[in-house]
Amino acid sequence: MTREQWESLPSYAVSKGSAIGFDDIIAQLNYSQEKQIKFANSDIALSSEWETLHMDLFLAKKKKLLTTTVENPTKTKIAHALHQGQKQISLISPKQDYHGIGTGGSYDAYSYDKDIIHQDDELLSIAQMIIDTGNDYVPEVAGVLRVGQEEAILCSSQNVYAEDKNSWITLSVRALGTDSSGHGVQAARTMKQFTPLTAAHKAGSIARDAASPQKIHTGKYTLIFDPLSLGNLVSQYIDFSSIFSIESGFSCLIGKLGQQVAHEKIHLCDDGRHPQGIHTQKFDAEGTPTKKTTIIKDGILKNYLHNTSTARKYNTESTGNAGLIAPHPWTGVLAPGDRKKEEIFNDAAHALYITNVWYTRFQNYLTGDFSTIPRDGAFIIRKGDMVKSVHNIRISDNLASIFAHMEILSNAVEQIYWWETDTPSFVPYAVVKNVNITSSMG
Amino acid sequence: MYEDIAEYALETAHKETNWAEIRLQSSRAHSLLWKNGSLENVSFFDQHGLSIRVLINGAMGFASTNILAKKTVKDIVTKAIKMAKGQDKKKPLHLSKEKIYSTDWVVRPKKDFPDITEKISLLKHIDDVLASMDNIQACFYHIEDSTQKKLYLNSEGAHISSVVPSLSFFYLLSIGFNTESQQINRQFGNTGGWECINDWNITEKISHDATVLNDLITKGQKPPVGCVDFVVGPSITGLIAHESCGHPFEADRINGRESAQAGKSFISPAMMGHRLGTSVVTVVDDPTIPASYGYYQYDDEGVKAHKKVLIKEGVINTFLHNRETGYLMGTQSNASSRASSFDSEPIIRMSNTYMAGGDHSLEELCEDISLGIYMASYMEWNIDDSRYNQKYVGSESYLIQNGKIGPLVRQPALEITTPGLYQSIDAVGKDIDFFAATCGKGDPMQGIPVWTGGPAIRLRNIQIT
Repeated sequence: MTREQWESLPSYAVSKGSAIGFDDIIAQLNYSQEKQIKFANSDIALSSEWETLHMDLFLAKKKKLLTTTVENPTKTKIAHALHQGQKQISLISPKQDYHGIGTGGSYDAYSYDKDIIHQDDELLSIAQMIIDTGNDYVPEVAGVLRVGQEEAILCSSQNVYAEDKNSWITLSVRALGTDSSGHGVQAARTMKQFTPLTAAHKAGSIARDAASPQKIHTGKYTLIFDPLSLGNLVSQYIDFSSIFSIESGFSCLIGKLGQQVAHEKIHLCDDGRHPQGIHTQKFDAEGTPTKKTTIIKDGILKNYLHNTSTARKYNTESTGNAGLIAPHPWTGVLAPGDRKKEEIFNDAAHALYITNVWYTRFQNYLTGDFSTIPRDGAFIIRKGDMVKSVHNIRISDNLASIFAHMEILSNAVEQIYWWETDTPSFVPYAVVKNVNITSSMG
Repeated sequence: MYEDIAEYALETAHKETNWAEIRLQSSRAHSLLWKNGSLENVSFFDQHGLSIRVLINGAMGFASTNILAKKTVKDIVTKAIKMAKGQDKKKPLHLSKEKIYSTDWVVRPKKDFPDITEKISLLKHIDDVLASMDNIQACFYHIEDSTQKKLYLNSEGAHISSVVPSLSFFYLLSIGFNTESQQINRQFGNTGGWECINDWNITEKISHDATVLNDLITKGQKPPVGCVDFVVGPSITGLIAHESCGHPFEADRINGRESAQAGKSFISPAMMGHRLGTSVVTVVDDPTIPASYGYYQYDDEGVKAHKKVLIKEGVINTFLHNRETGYLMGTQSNASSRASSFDSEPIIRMSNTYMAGGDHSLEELCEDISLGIYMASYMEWNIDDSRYNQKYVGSESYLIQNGKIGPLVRQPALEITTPGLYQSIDAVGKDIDFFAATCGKGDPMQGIPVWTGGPAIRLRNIQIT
């Protein structure tokens, strides 16, 4: 598929939609190519490749809203979708608190690797190196190596025309011993920035060290969160800051603007412009330039994430977080602290080091009562030494309380993105006191 | 439906491969999102595309596109072949021999999906009913109808086409006052047409939930401490059957293929025939239940669907297989391979997984319990990635005192190992109920429609956490 075949389609959709009588129209066309090597049992399990072209359409008339996606669009398909939209929108009720779309702005460019998708042999060779590195520690290695690039063109009835190109490469690798495992991740925008063996060494060494795990007593522990485990919680907290989560009643940040929601050392941003962020892009789903938005500063909740309509409703500015329907975060950035990682471990009198978690679920979204399950290595740490590998535990606590007690942070951050954490985040190591640990009976 | 393109793709691939399959799939969907008293958004789409899998010298390649032109399709065939040939495969992959079918199957709706006005009327009606309840903090509904058309072809001669309509509904409800809040969510889903909507009794259920959540805030007691007996309702039994039997019995997990994402299993092939639970425990996965959310007649490798008994009277009886694990474990596929959309690889999935019924009424399950918990619904739950340690926290839960269901209790938690759970079940109810869910697995993530289900069951001597 050549660019010439599709680049004029968004402007066609907007002019055609305006002629039909829609008040607001956004047409975003995306052309993407992705490749993935999946490996398991230290062997390649599947090589995959995707090529897709689609157009998202947002249509509004008299505050009635409609969205659709046109696959492999042509002018005929777009016209058909618009006519269908016109028919449907005449039958629906208005969203009274809808206040329009953005007017665009000036856009910055971010790093883009035009060759990332064309390196088949290199991809297979990287996958093999990852397997071999993990196998230096334990017999079994599994994971996913994925590369992609995407071109986007957005046009809107507010005279917005914007183009973007993004590329990414991600790795999620798990090393497994007979009774232990370790996990490592890597994510970058270009092949040059990508250092996969760091993740493989980390996964392998955790799996090796976690052999022969033991049970521990339940109760309160000081936890050292690895960036991989903390990324899961930060991703959850930043999802809660979307105005959509707030209005839907499913967030522990409801009604807390201006209030203390974390330890005073916590500074959390959503950064749609992070130079290394794999979800970084020039503009959001209505063409508003992406921004860096402070969510929490000195532990105080400063902002929710908005699109143009919700920002006007709450008399504030769009934060450049529009999705097709609702605002969403781009990338969480938890500001680093002042401790070296080694100091954090050396200073721990008796702490539980959690390398990874999954299956984070809430009993009460408003209070933040939740649990999550450590997977992969977990260790009792005393003065820098891993004195015991532990298993069969669960963090059963409160998310707001965990952020309130997060007073020690390491001085470097890592980008965390994998199957379980689909909002990427840049996070350090963190120490949290008095976290409740439970365990299964039987 | 681009059948000529699919056949062209298969023909092109078969010239250079030992084995190839094509899945051409379209999905037409229409959905409405309602939030806090007004229509938030209407969405419709008509997704279509094609994927190919090729097997070359034991290496599998997959490619997919939604650009259904001969040139692009030829390109992706070439890419799939290149991706497979490039692998330095240590352990060649094989597929089990299966019967080849050439057939069509269709789920015919008894009542066509209505136009948008009837759907809006339904949402408005639910909202009006809810508006008369106390302390509604937030509510959120999503309704979607869709029709999936598929054509499956493989180089062994399979040619299977299908049309499956389905309907789903989801609500989230938050009740709050006096600085306290409780929430719940429920999902409904069937294959078929609009006829399903009346069976779901949505207004009754959401009204009941609103009442219970209000009562939990005003009257909910702390649960007792220590060891007590539990009776859990069908929704929790279904979740147990899905999470701690269906998932660990997926043979791809057992063989480590999903170990970096969804995880492995505490079950090993050597455990086949071993006792896992008491003799009253039988767990089934059955894709052939008419109108079920996980219904299908042939899986996405062209294998004919049938009922599987995973745990039979407490004993591990069979695993869920596709053609790869069927061959690897010296057996056959049992038609458990599904893909969520045209651009997803087929992997082992549950369909409708449930615990078989026994002979007790709810009253009989409770009658000899001097102090216990009846957990009718849940909010928080999770399970580790080997499916060994799980936690279910009650939403609508009651104290059982001297054999009778009594006052509401707040958030009793059942945190237990899988063998511990199945070995603690001493009685099983006779009334089975089913619940729709969307099961997540695979990388990229694939959400697939399933039912979970079962009767109320009794668990003895459980530590409340």
